[in-house]
Amino acid sequence: MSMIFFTYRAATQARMGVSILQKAGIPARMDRSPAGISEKGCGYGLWVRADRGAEAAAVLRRQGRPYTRSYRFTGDEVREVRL
Amino acid sequence: MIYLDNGATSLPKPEGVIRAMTWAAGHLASPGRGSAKPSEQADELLYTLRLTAGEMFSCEPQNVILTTSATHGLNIAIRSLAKAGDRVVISGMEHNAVVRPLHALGADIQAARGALFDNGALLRDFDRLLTRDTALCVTTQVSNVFGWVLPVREIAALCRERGIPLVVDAAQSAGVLPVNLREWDAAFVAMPGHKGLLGPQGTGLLLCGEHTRTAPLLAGGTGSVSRERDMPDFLPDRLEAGTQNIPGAAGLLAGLRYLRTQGLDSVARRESDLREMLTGRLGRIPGVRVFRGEKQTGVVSFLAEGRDCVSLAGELAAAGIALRAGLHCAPLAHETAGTLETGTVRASLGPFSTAGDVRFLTRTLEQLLA
Repeated sequence: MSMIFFTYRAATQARMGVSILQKAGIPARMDRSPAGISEKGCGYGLWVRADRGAEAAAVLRRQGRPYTRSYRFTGDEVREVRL
Repeated sequence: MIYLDNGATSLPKPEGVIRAMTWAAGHLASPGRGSAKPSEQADELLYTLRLTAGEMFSCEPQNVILTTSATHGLNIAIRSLAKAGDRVVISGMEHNAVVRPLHALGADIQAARGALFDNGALLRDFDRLLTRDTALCVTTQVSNVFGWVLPVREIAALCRERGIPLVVDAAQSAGVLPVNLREWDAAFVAMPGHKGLLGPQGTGLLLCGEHTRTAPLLAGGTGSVSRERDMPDFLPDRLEAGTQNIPGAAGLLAGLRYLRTQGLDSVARRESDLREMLTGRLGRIPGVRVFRGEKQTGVVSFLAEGRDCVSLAGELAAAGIALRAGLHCAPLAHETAGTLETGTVRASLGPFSTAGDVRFLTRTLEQLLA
């Protein structure tokens, strides 16, 4: 199953993102950014199922909680995606 | 012990506060440092605290900063907005938590004065002093010596129309009176966790305005953007270097929840009734001068003619009554009120103070002064 990871610099912002998505009925889980995609070191983000990625991105932007970047994880493959 | 020193710290704390702290100390790790449950739960706790405080005080959660005290918060606020030589207007009731950082900074401090409890006179002096070249205005919401409720809304309006950033010291008002960052359009509001908010010592909250300039007082690890040598440019991380006081935060959250359950109006009304009783009874004791006014919280200062205030407080302590005497870390307030040479004895009520406590204090005082 593919997952989307939306990155945030701050834990508080990521947690607010989880809250927004959950209220919109989109399951989301907060996590630390995998080291490989953490440009500035030690970031946070939200995991969302890939099939709801675009929807989640729209909700986050609409609610004023835009993420920094979004990545698609499929098995061992990771690539940045624009949603 | 009859405890009437809630202006120093609230005692007792609600049982839920102690339980929350004990549980946190035994179960929670450091937020933003690990990936396992104890760290995640600590992170969730902090977020919930920010959210709860944000709702209570009209502030975005990420702009709610955990501090160790109101003093800590005020130092951040002052260092963020003022520099050496800046003209800073303060009220004549300020605590050393405001005066000392400004003095250390080398600011040009101008104190707005008026007769005690005279809001009109105080506002006129703020109006006079808040000029174009004023860099910052700092005011307490309630005097820690006299319980005087200052006209913060009107002071905020003056600052807003003149484009002067405002810092409010809510040390004696948070948990007692409404505190509203957005309504005041304040740059910062600082409050301790351990007084009216019923949390433990070693905690505090600093509310930051949406576009306020912030300067970290401490630099260190934040669990975020670790490759960068500069402190993060986003809140709350920018102002929270080091591991937060997690058991303290748990206790503070429990205190906020307790207050929310009780209702701020109900807490304030009860304290107001007790204060009326206290000032009335004190005023009837021969030789006692009570400092009272229309706009006053449960903080009441008094003096007994011919008696040293510190000695008198000592005698009251020996009789089982805890209060505070002296200058209360606020010599400026005493200077403004004309009590710098004598100091005062201060009784400060809290949510667990009772009419019985008030009666015991006044009867004991009558006996000591007879």
